[in-house]
Amino acid sequence: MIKESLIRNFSIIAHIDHGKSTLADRLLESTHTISNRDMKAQVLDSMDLERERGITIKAQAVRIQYDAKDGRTYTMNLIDTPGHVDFTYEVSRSLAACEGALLVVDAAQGVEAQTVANVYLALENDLAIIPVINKIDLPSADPKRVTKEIEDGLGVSAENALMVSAKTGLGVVDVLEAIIKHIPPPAGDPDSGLRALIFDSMYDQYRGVIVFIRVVDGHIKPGMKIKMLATGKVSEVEEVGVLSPGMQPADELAAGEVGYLITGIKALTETKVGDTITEAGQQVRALPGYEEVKPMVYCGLYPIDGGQYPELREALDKLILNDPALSFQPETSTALGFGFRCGFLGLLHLEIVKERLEREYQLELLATAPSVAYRVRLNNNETKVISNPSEFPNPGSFTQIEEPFIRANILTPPDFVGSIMKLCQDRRGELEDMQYLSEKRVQINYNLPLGEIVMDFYDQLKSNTKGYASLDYEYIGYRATNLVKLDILLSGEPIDAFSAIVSSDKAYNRGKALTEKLREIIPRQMFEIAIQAAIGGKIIARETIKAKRKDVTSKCYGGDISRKRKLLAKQKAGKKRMKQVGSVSVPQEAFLAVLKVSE
Amino acid sequence: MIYVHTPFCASKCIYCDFNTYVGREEMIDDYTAALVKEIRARSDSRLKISTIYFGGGNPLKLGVVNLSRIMRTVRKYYSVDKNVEISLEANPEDVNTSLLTECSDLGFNRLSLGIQSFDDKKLIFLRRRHTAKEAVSAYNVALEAGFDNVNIDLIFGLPGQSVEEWRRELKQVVALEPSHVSAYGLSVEPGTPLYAAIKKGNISIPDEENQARMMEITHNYLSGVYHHYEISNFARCGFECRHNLNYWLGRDYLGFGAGAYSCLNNRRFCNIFKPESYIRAIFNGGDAIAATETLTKEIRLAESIFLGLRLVDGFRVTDIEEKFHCDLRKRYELVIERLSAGNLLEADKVWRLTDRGRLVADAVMSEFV
Ligand SMILES: Nc1nc2c(ncn2[C@@H]2O[C@H](COP(=O)(O)OP(=O)(O)OP(=O)(O)O)[C@@H](O)[C@H]2O)c(=O)[nH]1
Ligand code: SF4
Repeated sequence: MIKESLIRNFSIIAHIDHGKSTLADRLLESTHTISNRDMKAQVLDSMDLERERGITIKAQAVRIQYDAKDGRTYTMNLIDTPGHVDFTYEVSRSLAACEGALLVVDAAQGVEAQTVANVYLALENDLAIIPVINKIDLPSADPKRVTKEIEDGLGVSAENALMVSAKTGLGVVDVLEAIIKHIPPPAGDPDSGLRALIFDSMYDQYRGVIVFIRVVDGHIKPGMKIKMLATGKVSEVEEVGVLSPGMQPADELAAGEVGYLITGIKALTETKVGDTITEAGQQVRALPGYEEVKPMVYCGLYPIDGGQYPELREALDKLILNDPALSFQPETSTALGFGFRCGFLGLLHLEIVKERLEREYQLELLATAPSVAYRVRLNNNETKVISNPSEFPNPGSFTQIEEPFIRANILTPPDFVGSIMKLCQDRRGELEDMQYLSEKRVQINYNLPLGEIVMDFYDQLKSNTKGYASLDYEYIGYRATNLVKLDILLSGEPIDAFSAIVSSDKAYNRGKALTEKLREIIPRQMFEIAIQAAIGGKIIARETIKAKRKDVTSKCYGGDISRKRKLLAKQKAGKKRMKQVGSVSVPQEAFLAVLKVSE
Repeated sequence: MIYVHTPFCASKCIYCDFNTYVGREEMIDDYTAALVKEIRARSDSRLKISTIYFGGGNPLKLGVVNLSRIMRTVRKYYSVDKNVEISLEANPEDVNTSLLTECSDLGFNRLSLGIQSFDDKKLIFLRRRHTAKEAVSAYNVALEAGFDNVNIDLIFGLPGQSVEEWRRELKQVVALEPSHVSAYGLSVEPGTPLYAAIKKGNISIPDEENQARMMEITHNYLSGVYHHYEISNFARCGFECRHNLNYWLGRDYLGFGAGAYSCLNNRRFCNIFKPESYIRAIFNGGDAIAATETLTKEIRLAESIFLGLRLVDGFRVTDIEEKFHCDLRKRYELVIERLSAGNLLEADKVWRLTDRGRLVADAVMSEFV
């Protein structure tokens, strides 16, 4: 058992690309946790997809042994956190497993939206925060300004901020010393009943569920009968160990330690992040902060080739083993056939899942426009939650609809304040607050419907600000608003995949814009196509795509009939790549246009 | 049926992607010898030949002596029908009365004149080698030489062409009273100078609407005078091109010469395209086959349908069903329903394209492949 005074548990928090992974690599290198030879750049990002997108999706931990200047050897656990707004809850649980955090800020970029969000999460968890100003090797580094932004914007003292270049290794030893000096050791009770926090878990096809834990009190060892408080699941410990960084079995994990745990559990749904592990039969208080994660964003996923439906189901079944935050249930669309309504933590999560399905399971998928969960108060006072426009109740059958709102925190250079405010206003935003963090950085807070954010907001923000603004948001609850269902009809038939729940103020313009956009996207076909937008059965906009007038090769190819046949087959294949909706062939991008259309 | 290909031309037309070459006159005799050898080598006196077609390129480039050698070989090694139709493709600038009389003596009884346009400006643009006046006199020469079955090829949808201009061309062709007219829409094929010029934006062809109208007036105008029997082909009754009809009816055919296609016993194959390689292959004692495709039942069914739909009279469902032992109506139930509802296809006992359907024939036919 390691003395708690010789343990330090910490995280690195940073805005995307500020150098979190690079710094982690340097820390592992300089403590010989991993030899240079084995060092794949950025060991903590393990999934291929993560590596490619350069983002950290899943938290993991690594144990570092450090011989400090005071002559003692410390055991440090670095707990990596996901870096995106969709995974806020996971971040907060990872932080809860630590006593302190390195706050990495890019010396050239300064404080960004996720810097702010992560600092708040760290403060909520009472962590000691060590500001690290990274990339000071850059000619454009402006540590003075960044120091001011950290102090004024975040209220974190940056007097002793460390000046580091994770790239060159400058200042890395100071970081290790600062961890020992400024981050308190764990203060659990090794002799009381077991309490361990699950901060992450993953599914391994050979070993079942691997749970990453921080032991808070007591100890845990193989053979012990344990219980997950939230799920009530009881199981026996098969193995515990540490991550250095590979899994290394240990005799036990005691208060203050971080490591992994394997039991007979085979389903991630039974090992929920944030849950407390106790010894079965013992009465202890749950660790604070557990929440049931709920999907915030929904969309329909459909195989482009309807025959791939069983494969899609199988793939989702497998994926959920790794990603319990994902939810799905079968859904039928008249336009798209059989598919699944899937729930995600956010837009990025949606994209990642879709990409994994396509890449790892070779599926070609069509995603409908994302939507959020609305609460409808029906006339009989019942409340119904709907996440699909097709469930929208008939006008007159309900008294009120509520939609989820978020508080957006946007950081931007002052030049773009105007266009950001316009964008937010257009998206039904309500300005809450605006503050200059330094002469180069403004923080703007807006309350916005989440439904507006999922519609292309982030891309718009980026393109309106040349990529300079950063966004983070937190969920602030439901509010009643005025919503209607906008339908799109192709040749008289409502196409459910195009329906959307929109604010009544915007429905008309949106309907018009959407029909125009579809007219551009849908190619001429053998028949004339009417594109209509309707609200509550009333047509509000109409466009026509004239029938194809001429499509014939008049010359005959003599004996080369094969060539003609192949050309016809190619023509047909081109059509097949589109989705057949009634008698209309709709190109895939039309389904995406629904979210890209601006009113 | 037999097709004989001549891959030589005096110059290349702007739109042409046929297998033809310019300035290879020196190999004409070798080429003829190779043709004769190939025709002989593949001989099968059981094959009944009812149509022969000399196409190109420009068959007259071979000269009468060579044409006669080829013709003799065919007659010697195949059972040529008494009523055989023997077509010759020719360009207006190449014909004169004595030449055509000689051809007629060789047995040619159908002449297809590549006139393409009666507008000198358009002819120059197309890089044709004749004028409108020469075109008309070539036609008269053909009559004098005794050809009572003459086809005139025309192209519409030329850059800068108006619907009115095309109507005038149609009037001119009808005034000549040929027994057969083929009216093709200009097709822009990759690799041609025309394609490159359009791609670069130097020239443009009439838009879809105008092309459609040109097709419509072609159909309306020529149907009044002729039997409109295939998408692009019009003939006085009894003068339909039997050779081409055989293609559309899915019959077997033998193709001789560079790049020529044959279809025999559910196999389709083509010869080597380059004349010099073709000649070498034949003289090395082998065949000159470059590629072979096995026609499965599925393929043959698809082809029967789309070729049949090219014919204005369409095809009888029972004919196809008996040939392929399948239930055509069931197999294409939804397609048929949609196409009929859209007034593109008549699908009773006989399946045929409607007037509207004919304008979008490729889109309709692609539903069946
Ligand atoms: N010049 C310079 N570049 C650095 C330094 N540290 C990191 N970088 C570069 O900054 C980029 C982002 O670094 P990462 O370590 O991937 O950033 P991250 O915060 O882990 O990003 P996510 O994993 O996406 O959250 C990479 O191209 C690094 O090479 C530094 O000290 N100096
Ligand atoms: S004459 Fe015919 S084959 Fe020769 S180049 Fe012109 S179009 Fe082509």
